[in-house]
Amino acid sequence: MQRHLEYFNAHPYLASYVLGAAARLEEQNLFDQWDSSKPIFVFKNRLCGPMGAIGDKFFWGTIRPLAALIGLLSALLFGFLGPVVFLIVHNIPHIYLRYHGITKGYRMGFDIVREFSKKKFEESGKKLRTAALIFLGLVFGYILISIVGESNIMNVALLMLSMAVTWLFIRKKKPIVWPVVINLMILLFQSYLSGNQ
Amino acid sequence: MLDEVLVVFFIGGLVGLDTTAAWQFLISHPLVVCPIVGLLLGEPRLGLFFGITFELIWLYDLPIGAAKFPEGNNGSLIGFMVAYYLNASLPGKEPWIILFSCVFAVAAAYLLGLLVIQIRKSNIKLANKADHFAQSGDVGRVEWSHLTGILKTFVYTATVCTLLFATGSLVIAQIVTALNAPAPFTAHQIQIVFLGTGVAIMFQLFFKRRQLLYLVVSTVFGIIIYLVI
Repeated sequence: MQRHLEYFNAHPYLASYVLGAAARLEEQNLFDQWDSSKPIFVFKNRLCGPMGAIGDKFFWGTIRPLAALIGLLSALLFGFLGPVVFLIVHNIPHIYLRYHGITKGYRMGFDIVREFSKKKFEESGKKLRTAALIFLGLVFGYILISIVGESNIMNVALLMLSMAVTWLFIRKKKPIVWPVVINLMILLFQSYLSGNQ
Repeated sequence: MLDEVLVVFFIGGLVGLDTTAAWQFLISHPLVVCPIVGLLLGEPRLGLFFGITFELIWLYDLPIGAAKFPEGNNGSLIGFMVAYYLNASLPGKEPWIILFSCVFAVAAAYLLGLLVIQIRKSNIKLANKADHFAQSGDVGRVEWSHLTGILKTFVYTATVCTLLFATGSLVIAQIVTALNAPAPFTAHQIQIVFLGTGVAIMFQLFFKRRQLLYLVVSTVFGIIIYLVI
């Protein structure tokens, strides 16, 4: 028990793999009477960093934005279906990995390390990022044509300017508050000008 | 105002938990929490407006490791609640209220980001205590430390969200009341600004020059979807 109260910080969704594998190793330790239980501690400790890095990039950097884009498109098209779609798209892989991680980790023990080859996650990550780009195109096309359809050229200019200003700021790694403030100032300025015409 | 305060306290606390401390089913995202609260309060249109407006912009800062990030989920909720409350008490000033609520949502997100850092520090102290209990084999107290961490996150986040909501409502009410001129812009234009910002963030995250064709084709499909539906 004490061994498993040590500091452990990995991605919450992928930690289930370590949980399953650690349970298997503890069982082996008990039945095979290992000389030392140190390998269990080392195993957990070594997996901490990679699990965090892979999980953060895969879930926070890919699946979450992809789910947000699909949810946003659904919200623009069907209103309240958007939040439901967002939750489904994100939580199916999430809950699957939490469950699958424990069973697979328990089945494989030490060998679970092979499951986490960087290449494997990079390949599926690449496909998901392409899917996200496609949904981004769909969202952008939808927003653009809906604004063009309003026959207000100022709104089209506002969308394009907001995108351009944000792009410039984030390329320089500036906090997101800067483009937001500047874009809102552009809105006020533009509204003031068009109000005076 | 008591109803709104209670909603901000409980939902704010739950959003804080889902964002960092527990579950992470992402029910805390603006696209989910704002429409649901809007539906509960009888303002689904405004809830969906805030959800769509704020969903993409917070994806710029990834909550990786010990990274500092604006807590946009609760920021968006507070912005929505301020707009909801003021729209009811100051009719006819909607565009101004939406504008200042959105600005306040961004400011609140950064302030709540600082709170996340403070909660982390407090949780480190609890983790050290738990480590001490673990070494003495006191499992009950280890569990107690864990639950205390979760409860602290809930109470701290809920309290700060409530204070921010009250402050935002009072300050924005004063500003909007003082503004006699009708707003020269619409709430829709504010949404365009935030959506433009969000789409640019997504471009930065996913766009590669060699995938230009995918982008062009999907954009055309996006246009077709709009025209067909």
